[in-house]
Amino acid sequence: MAEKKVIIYRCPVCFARENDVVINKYDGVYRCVKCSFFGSEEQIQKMYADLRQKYTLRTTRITMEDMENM
Amino acid sequence: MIVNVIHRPANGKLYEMFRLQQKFAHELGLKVTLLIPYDFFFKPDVMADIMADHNTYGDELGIWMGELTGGKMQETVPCKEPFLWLHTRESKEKILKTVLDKFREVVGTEPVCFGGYHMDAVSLELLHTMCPSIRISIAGCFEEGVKVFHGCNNSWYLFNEGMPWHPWYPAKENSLRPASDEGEWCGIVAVPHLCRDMALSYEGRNDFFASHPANVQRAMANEGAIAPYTLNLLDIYRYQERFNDGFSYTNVFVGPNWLSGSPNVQDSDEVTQGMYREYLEYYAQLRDEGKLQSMYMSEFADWYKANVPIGKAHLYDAKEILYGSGKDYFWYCDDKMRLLFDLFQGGSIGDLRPFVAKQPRCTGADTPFKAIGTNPYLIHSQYRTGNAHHFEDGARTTLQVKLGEEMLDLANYPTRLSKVSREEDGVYLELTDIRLKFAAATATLKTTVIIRKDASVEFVRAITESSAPDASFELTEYCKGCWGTTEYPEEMGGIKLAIPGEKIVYAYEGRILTSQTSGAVTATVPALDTVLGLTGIKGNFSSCEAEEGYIFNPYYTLRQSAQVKNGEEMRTVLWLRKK
Repeated sequence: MAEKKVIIYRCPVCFARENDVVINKYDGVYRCVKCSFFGSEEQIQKMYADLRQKYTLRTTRITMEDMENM
Repeated sequence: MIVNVIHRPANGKLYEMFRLQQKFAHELGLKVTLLIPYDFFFKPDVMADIMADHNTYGDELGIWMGELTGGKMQETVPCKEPFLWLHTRESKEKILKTVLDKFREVVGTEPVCFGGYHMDAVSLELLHTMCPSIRISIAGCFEEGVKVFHGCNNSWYLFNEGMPWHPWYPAKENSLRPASDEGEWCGIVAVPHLCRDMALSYEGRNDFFASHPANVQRAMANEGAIAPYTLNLLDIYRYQERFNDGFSYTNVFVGPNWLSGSPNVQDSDEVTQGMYREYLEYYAQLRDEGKLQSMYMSEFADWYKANVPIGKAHLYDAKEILYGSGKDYFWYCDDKMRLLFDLFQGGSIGDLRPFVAKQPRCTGADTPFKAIGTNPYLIHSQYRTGNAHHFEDGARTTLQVKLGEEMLDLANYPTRLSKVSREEDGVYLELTDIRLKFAAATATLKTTVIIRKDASVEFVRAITESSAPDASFELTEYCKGCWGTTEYPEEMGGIKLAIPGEKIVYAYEGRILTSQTSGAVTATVPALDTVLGLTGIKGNFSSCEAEEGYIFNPYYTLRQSAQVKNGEEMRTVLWLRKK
């Protein structure tokens, strides 16, 4: 197994527009080079969690039988 | 279902990830095709491991034509262009000769399989000529183009939209068009790079929603290790067997770079690697249940040639299975056209790619298309407005139903498929009834769509019930088109619009041609060498129209209108032909 991963973040605002833009820290704050978002790691994580909410079936296993009735 | 599990090595610490992928697949007894990038033929240690896997487990060996920049290939072709399909014909030939010779030298046999994110027509022609033993290639990324370009901050120049989502026989002059017959076929079976979500790849990025667990993580469509969508997406491909005489296909081809340290994955490596293992385990489970065959790529090519005739139409019922929207798209693809019906919008055509003109199309520095391998559309409701939101509507089809002065647009009425059948004369789609409520009456409309092999679509519209039995409804079959390969409008000047006895040349003047007949109305698009027509064939037709657009509304519109009462029907045909 590889050594423990250092998580690289994508800007949550750009990601919400389906654009992958890596976000870096400047003076301890994450700032996006593409848009004007800035925030902490905690804020980014919370926004990621919010973004996931749109996938309402993300934890639902859908069987072939279920598909018959979708 | 048939699956190709495909791996490739990577450098440095990612080599561990490659070995991990191999370990997973071998433990599960899955057949692995190893596609080897050029530079790895110069690495004896890597080749020793690969040959050992070949000898011990039977892994099939082929060539992966990924990014070339900065590697050994620059000794042959100095230009830093990273991908084969973007080079000139001369450079493509040099690159292919170099890599094929190296494979022969190192492996000691002729290769039988190949892969690139895209293989344009020249690349496949050269490959087939220089190495006839190659029977199969990964050759395109379904609906990769504008949305991925934007999604990679306008930096990823791979445009493969308008291609088949399924394995196909590439035509000689355009590798992303399925051949009509043996004579047109380039000689190599093509498979797509991954299998994409057929609903969400139309609406969004194909590299978020694919047969690639880390792509699903890229979309953040998992909750840590909980990621049922990866398996759901596999199963919805299996679901298509009912429409395709029992056939379904998938492949998985995850680069080792995705399994550790990817900037596009915000989960731990343990989660990522576990998801990959779980995905392969599901293949093994399905195989053990007799529902899936694991094949080498060349083995699949032989199976495909023996079982799927050239020119056969492929169908796909794309139920949306992640957002839970209830939306559903239905896809059709043969050698003459590719179509998408948007059932959420009343069964409107949301994407139409005409293949009838068989125009040559290649990518590369010496072609007029450069990176744009995309097959042009006549309708794209996502890129070109579709149903009206702000100003006028854009490219789409629909049915407009009028009673008195009140008009209802079928695109505002979700419907479902009630039956799909392949018949001798075409593919029949029966849509669920739509209840129309006017101020003065209600009515039930039934739609049947017949897709024929002659590049035509017949719409059968019947009023099956009405609260006002004597009321006459005006039904207008409506097709608003344009052309293009991206989201921006192309030159419309020169398009010829015609109704019986009258025609105009498009000049952005907003003119309307009207006839009180049911003859064909047509738009001839010179850039595509294609005629799009709409003809009334049965019913009490009252008029037909061709309407020119203007710069803020750069489309053409074809209409056929008939008076229909309860118990009556209107039949029209939307058709394509080479100019």
